[in-house]
Amino acid sequence: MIEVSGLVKRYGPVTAIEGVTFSVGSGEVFGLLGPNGAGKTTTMRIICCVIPPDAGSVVVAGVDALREPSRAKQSIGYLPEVPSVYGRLTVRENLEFFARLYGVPGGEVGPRVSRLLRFFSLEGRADQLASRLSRGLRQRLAIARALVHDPPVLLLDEPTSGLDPMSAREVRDLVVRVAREEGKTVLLSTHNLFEAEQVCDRVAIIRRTILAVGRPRELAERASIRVPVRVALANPSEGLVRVALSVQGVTSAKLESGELVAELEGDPDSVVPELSAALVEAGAKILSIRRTSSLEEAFISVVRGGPRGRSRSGGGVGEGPDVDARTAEGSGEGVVRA
Amino acid sequence: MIRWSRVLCVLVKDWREFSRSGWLVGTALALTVYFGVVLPAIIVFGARISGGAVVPISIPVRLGDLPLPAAPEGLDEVARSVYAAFSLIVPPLFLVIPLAVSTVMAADSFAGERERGTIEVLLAAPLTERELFLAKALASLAPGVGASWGAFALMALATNLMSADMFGGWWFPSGPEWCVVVALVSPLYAFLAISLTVLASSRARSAREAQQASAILVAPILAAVFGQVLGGFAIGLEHLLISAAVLAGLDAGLVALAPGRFFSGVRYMRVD
Repeated sequence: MIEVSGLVKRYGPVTAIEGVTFSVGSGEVFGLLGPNGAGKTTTMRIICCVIPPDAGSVVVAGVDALREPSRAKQSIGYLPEVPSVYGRLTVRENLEFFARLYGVPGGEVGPRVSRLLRFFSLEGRADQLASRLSRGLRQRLAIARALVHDPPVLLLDEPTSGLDPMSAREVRDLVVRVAREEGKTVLLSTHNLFEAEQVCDRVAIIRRTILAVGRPRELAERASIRVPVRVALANPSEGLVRVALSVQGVTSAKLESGELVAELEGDPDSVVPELSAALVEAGAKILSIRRTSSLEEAFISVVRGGPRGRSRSGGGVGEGPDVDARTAEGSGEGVVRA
Repeated sequence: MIRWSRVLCVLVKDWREFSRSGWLVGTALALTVYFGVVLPAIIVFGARISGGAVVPISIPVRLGDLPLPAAPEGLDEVARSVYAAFSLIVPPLFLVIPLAVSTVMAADSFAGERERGTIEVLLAAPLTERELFLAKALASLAPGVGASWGAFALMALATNLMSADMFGGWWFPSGPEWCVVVALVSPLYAFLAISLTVLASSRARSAREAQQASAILVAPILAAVFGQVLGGFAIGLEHLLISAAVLAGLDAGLVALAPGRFFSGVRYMRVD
């Protein structure tokens, strides 16, 4: 549905992206994952024909976007990073305006707008000025706006940026619903690893160029990531460390400030339950279990180009100046910032 | 080829937005009422009270003493002074209406849309730059021209009602010059203001900042007023027609330049 090949964009002496190549299949949710300044927005803006590339090609829904931008734009619903609704228009007027702008026939505008208002639970606010909506509701309206002409492709640039955790979750759920129920192809840019892991079928890690592409779990496996897990215990003991080491997939274990710190290899979703079951069976009183995202570890490994299988202690702060990977408090979200 | 349905769609959207901004509507209404009612009242009643001296005392000229070739015969000093004010001072000042209203609208439509970030979704929509510029320029032009015409109608009514006794009946507009000012110079001047605002919007960080570019257009207005009041020159019909031709040329030049500058500025406003 989206074919991007060899994209290059320079802003004066600065090369924003170079040789960006990837493809997104029909009905797929594809994430462009990278720190700020990695070229995500530039790539998105080229795909939706807002800026031209210096080299490369973009094909959207079978249309060459560089040769026929008007036709390609018709197939794309675009959500820029900044809120993109008109505050002095009502929710309904916003949707009606964009429906007409994209050439939706007059008779279809009303029913289509009503359906979107229902889908996005905005019916009760249809006649309210968009400026009076909360940030989360405005983002919901912006996504509805991007869908109003029923495009097969949806480009979402940092759709949860600046939202509180509750609104961010709502938006993520909506993106998944739109992809599954409406059959849209979604290209989503984010620096939020948790979001990428939760929402995307496949992810491309970008930093000026595409560094890696694959399913989130594949990326973690490909990078041979060891995921650190911290188990807080009411009764820590060396015996429990030995029990942990006996569990398949646990490569190391030690006690640290009353916590059992283990490193896992393979799929943490299957190893963590086995580890906790073994510890409970051995008499452990578990207070909490914390682990970082395996994608987060893969991301850091790929972006830094560091040694494979490099392990970090869980939930810590990145050591380099470029990447700050942390587990967001309360939300369990891995966030990468540059 | 221009797709007028899409141009109209953006234009109506912009008008709807203007109509909901107290600041924009207030500016247009205040100028219309000021030039349509308040200014004629000041001139007519000022002349009546002062006996014909409606210019500041520091200027040692009585308006009625200025050469007014088209003035009707047999006017007394007060009527002659009123006639002079509406023939020499008010026509150039009248251009402040399209200048101010269209500038405020254009700044909101171009720089404001950029400031609020909504221009990005318009650039991603199936619209050409020319269609988008045309829609927004027309949306900004119409309120300025509409306010001018509204003010002119009000001014004609108010002036005639307040001064009919001096002239022996309704007399305003005083000559064909007014028709050229209202129908030709005023829209062309408004378009010049819009084009300058669009140029400024390519760099301005806010709508307010973009408005300042067209402030330079106040200078010719002041020159026309003071030049005539001080007896330096008198603007006649032929001068107005020449001015209209010059304005049309400037407008054409800026229309070729401004949209490209603006859209280029908008496209590269952020680098990620």
